[in-house]
Amino acid sequence: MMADGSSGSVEIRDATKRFGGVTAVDGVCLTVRPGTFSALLGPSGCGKTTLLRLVAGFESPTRGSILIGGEPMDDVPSYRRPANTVFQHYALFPHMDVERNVGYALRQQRPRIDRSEQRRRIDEALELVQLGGYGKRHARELSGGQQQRVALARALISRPQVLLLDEPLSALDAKLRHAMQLELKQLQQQLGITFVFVTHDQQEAMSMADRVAVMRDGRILQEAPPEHVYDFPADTFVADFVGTMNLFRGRLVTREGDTATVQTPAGTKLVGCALSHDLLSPGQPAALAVRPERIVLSLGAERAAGPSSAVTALRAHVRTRTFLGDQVSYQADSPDVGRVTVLQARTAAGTDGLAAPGDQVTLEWALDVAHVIPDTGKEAAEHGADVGLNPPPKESGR
Amino acid sequence: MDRLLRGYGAAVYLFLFVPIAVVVVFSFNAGEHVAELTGFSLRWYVEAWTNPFIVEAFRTSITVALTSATISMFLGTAAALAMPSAPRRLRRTFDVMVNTALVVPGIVLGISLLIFIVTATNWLNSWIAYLVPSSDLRLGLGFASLVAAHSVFGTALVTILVRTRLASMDLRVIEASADLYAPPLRTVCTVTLPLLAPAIFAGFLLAFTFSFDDFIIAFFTRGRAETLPIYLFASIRRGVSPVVNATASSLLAMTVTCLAVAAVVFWRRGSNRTEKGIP
Repeated sequence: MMADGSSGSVEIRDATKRFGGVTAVDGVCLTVRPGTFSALLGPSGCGKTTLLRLVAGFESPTRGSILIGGEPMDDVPSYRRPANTVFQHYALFPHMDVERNVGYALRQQRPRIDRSEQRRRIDEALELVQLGGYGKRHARELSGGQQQRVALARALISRPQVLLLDEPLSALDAKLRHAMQLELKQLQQQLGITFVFVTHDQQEAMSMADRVAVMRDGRILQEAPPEHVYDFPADTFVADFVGTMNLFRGRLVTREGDTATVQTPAGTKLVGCALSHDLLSPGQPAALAVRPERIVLSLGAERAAGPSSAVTALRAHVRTRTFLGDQVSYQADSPDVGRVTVLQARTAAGTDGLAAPGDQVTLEWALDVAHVIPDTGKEAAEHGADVGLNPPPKESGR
Repeated sequence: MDRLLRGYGAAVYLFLFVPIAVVVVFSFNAGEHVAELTGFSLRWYVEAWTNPFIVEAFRTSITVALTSATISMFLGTAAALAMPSAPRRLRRTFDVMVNTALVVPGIVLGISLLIFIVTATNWLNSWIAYLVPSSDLRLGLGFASLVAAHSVFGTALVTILVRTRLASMDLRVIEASADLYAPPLRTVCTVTLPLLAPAIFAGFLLAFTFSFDDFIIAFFTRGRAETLPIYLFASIRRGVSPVVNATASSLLAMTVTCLAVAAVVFWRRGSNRTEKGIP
């Protein structure tokens, strides 16, 4: 409808939503630029779906406001908002066939759209999601993936400014989910419609979105391009939730410009880059975060990079080695920092040159791949067990 | 132990259904006497359905049942639709009241409705007499009060059935409709009501059956209106004739048919159509 530059933008201004005593969304500010693919990422119960429902108009904010295409949506009911939703379990109308489901939005328009035009647009929408010829089928005769496509076509048929997707792929099996991820991304680029995508799957968010907003307890912790979120997580929660991360927890000792030092409970001092503005007072909980694939593992006590102040080197012994095909994953115990996960690319066949459980190894990483970030305590509940947690080293390891 | 239980179950069913079976079997009896079987005949059915009193009572019953079931259908559906958006406390109170209407013994409901209707009509009558002294319109017990009384119970039935269906429905289809530009009233017409139709229809049939069968509430609130159960009761006092058997059996056949249709509609069609979008 609108041709100006703000069409398709979503702006959330200090939105808060309370249900009784529970604050589901807590003072969120977020701007989604037109034509981009944004992901709201977080564990279940973090408020991401509620935030989406505020944008769709199914809930109204307790405080704050929502703007779509630059227009305030305060008094605009969901049936007048230029945003359409793809629901988690599709919510297809069970008493209508595919065609009537897809054409539903067209039938609501006044003045009425004539039959042949409706037909043309329904066929076009079905072609778009590769379901041409399925119009007369009944929704319950379709597979999960096909129902998903019907839901997409139904939401896209009137070309909304914004498409809201509420965990639309969560009910699909892994293979289909990957295929749909690619397809969604392509569709978004082809149509140029703003997509806001809610998910608890960090891989999904990373692979599709232009920007990722990581949420926890109703707040956005970090909002940035996926590479940035991965490389420069804002705090330990984001670091742990997105990908696999070694977190060496302790307290902040010093902060000088872009570098900071953390002291672990074992007394080890670790140096890393510090970008966070929340990292100022010595003694506050902080952690050094290093990605497993950034750590260089070498056998024995020699250092691969040679002695240098720009490199941290730790001695450790390997506990487990896991074969992952193109990579090898190690769990190593260091007397200084505890459990460390290392990911090594496999360059040769067989196990030659790989460390084995029990081997003494040296772990090294450059200063610029290690980040000192605020320690927010609680971990991502769904994650946890196998990822980046550092249980204190066994006493026998010393 | 298993066989013992099964035997016990069979005994319970026998106890429940033998009296009914006796009535049905004897309704086809050729003989004049209720006590002895002499052969198969439909003569008592012919006699029953050519009896002007029975036909008239049947017509009254059908009219009352259709009217009260229709009223119940509208009121019950509206109540069920409105409830989810009502404040919690109001909703709780309403739920309790609706359930109470179903479990209160018929005789209590009958007496309280009688007292209420008599009080209400007296009060209204005094106003009519005061406002329009020339009119000799006087409200009292009769067809209308009977319909009103049956509608109370029927509304509770429909409300509960529709609420059950609504609760098991994927409410996101209603949100989806709003999301796809349908204003609230159109969502009700194109999504909510079609999905609730089986429950509404089943509720209508149950309310109809209840009203058609009911003796106790009708006994108190009917005034001079005579329904089929009331007629049967009156004629039994003159002795059990085979005509009574035939009439009762006809009533039974109708009731069972209605209930069976209601059950099929509510359980089979209903659950199929409102299933969530997951295969």
